[in-house]
Amino acid sequence: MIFWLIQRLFQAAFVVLAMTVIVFIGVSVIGDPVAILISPEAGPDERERLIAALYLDRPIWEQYFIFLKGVLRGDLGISFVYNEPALGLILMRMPATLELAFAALLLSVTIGVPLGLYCGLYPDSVVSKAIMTISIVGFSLPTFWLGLMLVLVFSVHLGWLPSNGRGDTAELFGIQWSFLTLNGLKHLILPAITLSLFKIALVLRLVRAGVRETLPLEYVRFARAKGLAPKRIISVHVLKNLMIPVVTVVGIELGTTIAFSVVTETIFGWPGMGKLIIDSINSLDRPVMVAYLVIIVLLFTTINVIVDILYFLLDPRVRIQAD
Amino acid sequence: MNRLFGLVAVGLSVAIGIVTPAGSDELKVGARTEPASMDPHTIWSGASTQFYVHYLGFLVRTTPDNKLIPALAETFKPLSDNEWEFVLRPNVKFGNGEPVTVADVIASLNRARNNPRGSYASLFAGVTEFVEVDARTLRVKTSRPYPTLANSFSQIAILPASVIAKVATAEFGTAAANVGAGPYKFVSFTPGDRLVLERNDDYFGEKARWSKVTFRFLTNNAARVAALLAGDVDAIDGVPPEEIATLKARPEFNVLSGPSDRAVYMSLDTERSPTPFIKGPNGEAIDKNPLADVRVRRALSMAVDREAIRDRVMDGLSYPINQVGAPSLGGFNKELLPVKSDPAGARKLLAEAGWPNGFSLKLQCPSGRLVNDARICQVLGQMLQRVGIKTEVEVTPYNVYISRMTNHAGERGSIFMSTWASSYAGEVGGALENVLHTYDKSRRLGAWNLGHYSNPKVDKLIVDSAVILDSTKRHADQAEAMRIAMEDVGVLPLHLQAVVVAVRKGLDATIYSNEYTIADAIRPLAESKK
Repeated sequence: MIFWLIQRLFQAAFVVLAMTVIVFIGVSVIGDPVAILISPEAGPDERERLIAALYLDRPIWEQYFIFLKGVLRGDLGISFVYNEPALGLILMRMPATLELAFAALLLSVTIGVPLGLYCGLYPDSVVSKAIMTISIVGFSLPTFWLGLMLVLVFSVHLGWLPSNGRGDTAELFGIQWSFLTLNGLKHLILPAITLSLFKIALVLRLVRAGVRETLPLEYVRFARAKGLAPKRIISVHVLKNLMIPVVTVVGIELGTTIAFSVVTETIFGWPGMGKLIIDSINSLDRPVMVAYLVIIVLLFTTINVIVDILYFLLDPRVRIQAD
Repeated sequence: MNRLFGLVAVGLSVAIGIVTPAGSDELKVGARTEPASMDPHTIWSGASTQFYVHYLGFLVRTTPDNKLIPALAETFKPLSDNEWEFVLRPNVKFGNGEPVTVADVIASLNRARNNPRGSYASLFAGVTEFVEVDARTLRVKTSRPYPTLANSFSQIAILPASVIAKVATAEFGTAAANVGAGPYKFVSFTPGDRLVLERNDDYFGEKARWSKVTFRFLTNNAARVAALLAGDVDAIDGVPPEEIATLKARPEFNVLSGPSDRAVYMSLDTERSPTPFIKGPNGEAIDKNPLADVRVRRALSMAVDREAIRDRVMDGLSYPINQVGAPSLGGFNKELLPVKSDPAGARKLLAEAGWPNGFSLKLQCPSGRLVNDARICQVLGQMLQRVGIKTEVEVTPYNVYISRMTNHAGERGSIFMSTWASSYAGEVGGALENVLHTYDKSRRLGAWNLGHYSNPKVDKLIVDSAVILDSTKRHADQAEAMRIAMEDVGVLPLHLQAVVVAVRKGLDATIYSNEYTIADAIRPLAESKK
């Protein structure tokens, strides 16, 4: 297990390194950051001063080398626009995004799994059919439209929930969180629902399919024949087996939500890091783009490792293979 | 997306009452932008300065129509051709209790000028020395007459020298660095979320109107409008044109608008022959550049129906112009009236110029930078098509577009959208020097003259007028330079954008033509009618 983990970590490090090379080349071919940064009437000497200060006069491999040297010191570069360390800019906005992503994840699992289970166990009931039909809507609604509709109905029309922002926050572990205050929770509801609707539908369908697939299997029949209580068969034997695909998908979805919830964040004025990456693309703030993608790759590899560990715990066959 | 939102908003808005907080002394503004940097000496941009002027000290401040008014400096005037004098107001203190002295002013000016990663240095072009005469008197020496020096200094925040000595850029998100002498005091800043200010009771000028001001950064148009509809904010700026009718139709809101200083025009490549994006009538390569002929440029200008663009594309909110200037700026030429649409005349002129069958061209525009930029481009394409010019439209994201178009040595475009606002100079001199003077890298002239228009007569008027200290005479020469350049159709002006602010019922707002959103410009209706 330890050996396996170390192997995974090495793989992850390699992926990050490869990605930085690709991103570095990618961001240097689009546009000229100085054209955006400097005021139009700046003279040639100021231009050159800025170009030199940003190392833009060096060849790309040298810029990359400077970047790598910085990484070893824990410095992912200094933002062209904010003139602050890129890593700090991202980390400062990260809790808001993580909070939103986990809230959406929580909703999708707590709603998606029970509903999916119900639909799988009673596929012919009217309620199941209704749930399955509604889940199509969850799949197909674009996030921005859904977000705006929720704002129109619950904020503008009914006035129950605030239309945007994070609301009051409280401190925990030195970081400000919204979910610890009532006002913050109210602000969290609409964006979390917007983000989770798609995931609820996804989890629901996965679980339903899993249940339908597992129920006729031999071991379930055997358990039944042995006289186990239906509750125990479902909660221990069926659920545990169908959790493997669900964990995989939820893991990937979590990564995607953290990395790319930018639409929801802009609609709800949620001060997360999704907005930062879009702004930095628009202003060609290369260090922030690179740092952001490094963090995202780290995040995905971490999630993958966690998913693998969960497999380990859930699926005895994986354990046997590893041994 | 916004269209759809607007429709639904109308549908839902029937008979909804918005509860307005009564007797509130707090103002919440939904802002279209967030400061690019909280460090006031880094990136020079009006979208950031509009926040700084609330809570930081400035030597001079500007009125809604770009006039200068004394702030920390009680008086400011040129003493001679090469010297300006600023005398500080007595007994003014920073938020930390230290008095405002010339030493602080010089430290701030130097910080803005010398920041290696900053973009304020161009404001100091020609400034040679700061002389501290006494604690209240500053003299600024220049190598040549600098008539708009005070305008330039209205852009630079003054911080205590003691703060400058010890804070780093990253600390400008906190109250430790934002020690000001403005009408408001800095309370807190959350990136991507909000800036909170409170009234500065020690302010030397007229006391601020609101005890607390919150700017919420709502960069998404639909979200900003929704926040106003939901009553989460009292006012929003940058109202998207397609939402104006919706908001105007509802009695709970007030929509206010006025012309901005921002001129939108098409740059024309008059220099190169052939020019890369113009081909013959059937798309074949030609060795001439039709745009080199002033008759063709005039024909293009006559082909454009600016009123139709205003009414059909801009929802009535643009101001057709025929110069790179606005009425709020010194040197605006009142006699230059927008060119009337005349397709028949345009066809005739084209034939006269030797292009009876027209030619084909590619029109290039950015997207997401100017109000409705991509749509204007499409409409322009149709208007040119109507006079027999086969037009293809290319729209590119701003970050790529601007890099390509400002590269003077590169391909650039043949006919492409561009913009300029001279607010920082308070007069059209800024546009003349940068947009219409011949491109001259070494003398920092024509940096934004992207079509490389060149007329020695215009150049001479621009350079000569730039050193005239008498503003009446200077403005007259600027107006004349603009007239000649527009007779040449050096660029093809379209319109001024509108500044549009929406507020909840009971409030009124004064429009700043430099596109600043100022808390105290938003006041209860009862007070503003006095």
